[in-house]
Amino acid sequence: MQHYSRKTASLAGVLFGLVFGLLPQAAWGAGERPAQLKVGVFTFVSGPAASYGMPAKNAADLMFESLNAGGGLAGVRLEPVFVDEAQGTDAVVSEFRRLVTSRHVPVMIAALSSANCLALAPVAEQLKTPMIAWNCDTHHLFLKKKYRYVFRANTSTVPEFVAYAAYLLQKKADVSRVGIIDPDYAFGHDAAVIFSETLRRFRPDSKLVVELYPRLGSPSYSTEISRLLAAHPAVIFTNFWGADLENFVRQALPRKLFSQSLAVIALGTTVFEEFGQRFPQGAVVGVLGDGWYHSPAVRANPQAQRFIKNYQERFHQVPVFPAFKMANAVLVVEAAYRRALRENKGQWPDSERLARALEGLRVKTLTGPLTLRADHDGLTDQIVGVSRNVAGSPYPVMADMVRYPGELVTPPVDADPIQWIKTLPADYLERLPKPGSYGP
Amino acid sequence: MKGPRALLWVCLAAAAVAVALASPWASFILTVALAKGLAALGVALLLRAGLMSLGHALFYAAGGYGAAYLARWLGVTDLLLLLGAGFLSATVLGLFTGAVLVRYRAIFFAMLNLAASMVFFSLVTKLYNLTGGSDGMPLPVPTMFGLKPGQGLFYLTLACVFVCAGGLRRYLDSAMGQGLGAIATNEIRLEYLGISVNGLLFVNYAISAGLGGLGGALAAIAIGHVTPELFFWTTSAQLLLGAALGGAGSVAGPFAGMLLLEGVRTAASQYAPLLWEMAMGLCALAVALFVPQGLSGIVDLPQQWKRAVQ
Amino acid sequence: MKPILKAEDLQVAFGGVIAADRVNLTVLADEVLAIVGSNGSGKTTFVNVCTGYIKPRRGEVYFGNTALSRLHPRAITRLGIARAFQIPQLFAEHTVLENLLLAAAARRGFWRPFSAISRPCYLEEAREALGLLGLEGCASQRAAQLSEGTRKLVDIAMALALRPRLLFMDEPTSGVSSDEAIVIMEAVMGALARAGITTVFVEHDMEMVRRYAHRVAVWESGRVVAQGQPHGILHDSQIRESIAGMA
Ligand SMILES: Nc1ncnc2c1ncn2[C@@H]1O[C@H](COP(=O)(O)OP(=O)(O)O)[C@@H](O)[C@H]1O
Ligand SMILES: [Mg+2]
Repeated sequence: MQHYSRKTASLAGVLFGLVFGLLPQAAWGAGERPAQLKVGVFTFVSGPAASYGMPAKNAADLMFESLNAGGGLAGVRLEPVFVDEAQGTDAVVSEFRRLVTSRHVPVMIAALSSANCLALAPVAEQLKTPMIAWNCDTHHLFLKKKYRYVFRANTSTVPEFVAYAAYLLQKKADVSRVGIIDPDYAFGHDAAVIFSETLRRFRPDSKLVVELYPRLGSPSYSTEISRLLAAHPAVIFTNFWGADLENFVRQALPRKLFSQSLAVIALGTTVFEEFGQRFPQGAVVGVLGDGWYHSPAVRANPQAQRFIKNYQERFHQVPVFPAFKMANAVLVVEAAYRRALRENKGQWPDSERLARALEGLRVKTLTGPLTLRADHDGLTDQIVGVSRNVAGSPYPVMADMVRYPGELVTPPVDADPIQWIKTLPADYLERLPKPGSYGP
Repeated sequence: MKGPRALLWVCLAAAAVAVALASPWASFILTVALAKGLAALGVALLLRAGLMSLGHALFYAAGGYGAAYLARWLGVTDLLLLLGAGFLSATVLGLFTGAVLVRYRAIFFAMLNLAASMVFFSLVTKLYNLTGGSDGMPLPVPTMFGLKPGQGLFYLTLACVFVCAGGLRRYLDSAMGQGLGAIATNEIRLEYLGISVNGLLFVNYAISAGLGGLGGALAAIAIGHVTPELFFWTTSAQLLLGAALGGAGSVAGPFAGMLLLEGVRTAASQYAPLLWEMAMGLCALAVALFVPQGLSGIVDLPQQWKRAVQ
Repeated sequence: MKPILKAEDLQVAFGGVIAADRVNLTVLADEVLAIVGSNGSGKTTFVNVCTGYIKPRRGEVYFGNTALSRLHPRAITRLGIARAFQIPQLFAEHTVLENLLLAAAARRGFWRPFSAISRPCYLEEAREALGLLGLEGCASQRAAQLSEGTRKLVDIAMALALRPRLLFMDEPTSGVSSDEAIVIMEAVMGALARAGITTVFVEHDMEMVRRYAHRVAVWESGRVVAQGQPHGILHDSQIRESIAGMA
């Protein structure tokens, strides 16, 4: 047997040295106006989650281009530095650290996945680098935790799924028998609890008759569909997304699952284009926030209209709501810098000043108002409606829309979300705007 | 023989420290790469016996989760205790799974390891209230004897690498270590020398699980978060790739392989962030095609060429 | 002389083939016993049963007072029974010396994780075993690169390195040219005699049997059909007939 260890060891040293020698090391001083502003952007551009992450990447490209076309930030050009979250949590953390310490990226838009947000938040804190979560919606992110540098430009699962339950309740839908089919990970389980607890608060007789959590990426849902059909629920709730949602809907359609039960397909709007007019009619759908490309607020916003037009021209698709979430996160970065510049008499902000500017920031996003609350969580409205085919449109639109104001569907800072749901006032539903009250 | 090799290891350590001092991020990525190298070393140990584990992520992840649970349940933040918890939980798990799995060979061994790790993956994902599900669990910023360690984790990792590599080098020179290669070529003869092949495999399985746990705990502490994806087969594949790229024939091989993988991934993220998968695939392919013995085989290439010419 | 190994009423069948049919045989201490018989008569099967590779359907083998039939090969090896194979069983990727070091270590204490296999006392034993068979010259060659004859010798050397009380050799000279065979047997039998190891060897070459065996047992269709002094047995025309096929 031969022993290579010493040669191998030196070889590894040389290789590693080479790799690091090749990496550019930028010079950067605090308070100095940089030649360009690098912004780390974390999303999925490969793997199954790319169906959701790619529209966001596209949106980021467009937003940074249009920002630069308008002269950048006080003359400073912005440059997105993309990181593929499909590399896994360890690599994502590593990239975050590298971007901060080696490439001096002062601000991050991260991340899509909740696991990555939870992993990155302490790192952002440690490196004192402002991080703006743009899609992850676990309500554990800010629960019982105080961060100085971590913010979220969207809402948590709580308002997102309270909204769907409220919509059903306001419409006086039969919620006596509820079936749930969610992906088998935190997002699915959290949503199931929030949705069913909200129903039970106002309709204590509401029963979960079937609860299914197929694993992420299952190719076939035939047994699940059989069980849903057999259980005869009045309402079926799902927060599937991406390929899982497509597979589920595609397999459930011929088996008439959606004619038997009223479907709540929380992320249904993301596959409108995919299914066209075959998408189940009258299903309750939404956008986990206010990112509906056809909402009155968006139609009245010239910047949003330009964004949609550019997006469609470049990518030949309608921007689904992850695209809006990313676009809005870029606007949050822009607004924070503008505020920091304003409040520091034009002096370029360091990360501390940027973080202070993010606090309590109010931004008029492409899709509506956004406030960063005291706990750094985002507060936005929630749009819910039903799918409906209309003449002249190749795919369904959202009809019977309602726009719930963020502060009405979001638990107050530091409140335990489930406790908050369980103790919602009896007249809560009457205080909410009515389905159909938003838009045409 | 001993003198110059020790000297080169010292030089390597010095190089690593220099790189780490030059860039704080480098110390992080070196920590993670070396931690994964420890786990890959465990995989390589079994490769020597001709056994390919497609599920070694199980122990890597167990190390990370072991440390995370100690912090979560007992509020422990001490680095050494966390490491100990990770190492122990992986080793204990290795003793249980090993007791069953060392009876199998070849594809059965590979697949059963894979199955074991995927069972844990599903469990950890499903038992949301106990494990944090897909969101995972945080690890605290560690302390060392009550102090904030700063770069301490990197140096501790380096120390672990040296102790483990040194220990394993000696171990591989022992009869038990040499017996590993003997398992790969002739189990019957080993039995007829009076040696229990499965017993020897069991010991090595436990050692390799322990190495996986130690690496997993170090990486998890560095990263600060564990997720079920640690248990996923892609993590196992990465460890196996690192071991194979570096060459299972030497103790330094798996570290070289893991450093190369992390280096390539980092360089790809730098220059072609959307093509990192392709870059890693090409790199693996290049090594497989041109240096089938792994990186540690590169040093033999000139001799081989010479021989080919003659 | 005292019996060292006693096979009683052994029965082995593979499907319909009876490979051992009520075999009774005693091996005496310090003797050299040759087993002869035509191909497929069950000679290897007998060796396999005695060394734990095959469990007999009936019957028992006693080594002293110990019953062997339920023991693993490794346990039998540890009792002091070693075996050389019809097809050499070596560690192909190790050198000849490393092969013998493993054998020496296996005898002296294998489970020591931090004691080098090349420590002097193991080296000495390994070299000694090589020396007995004149193998010093190829100590640093890889086992896979050796000629068939040398592989046979190394295989025997590994069994010798275990310093057994009883050694089974299954056709030590098959596949080896007859010139080579003489050299091998001379070396092996000399070494065994010097070490005082009781030996059972399966052999096709009657010349070798005549030269080295104290006693012969003749196998036919899984049965021992005759046993006795070589000159008596080998002159029996009926027996010559029965083993003629093997030549
Ligand atoms: N593992 C086995 N499976 C099936 N048949 C076997 C096996 N081993 C031996 N046999 C059969 O048992 C008989 C005795 O074989 P063996 O002991 O190898 O004979 P010998 O060594 O005398 O040539 C032969 O007929 C052989 O085909
Ligand atoms: Mg035979």
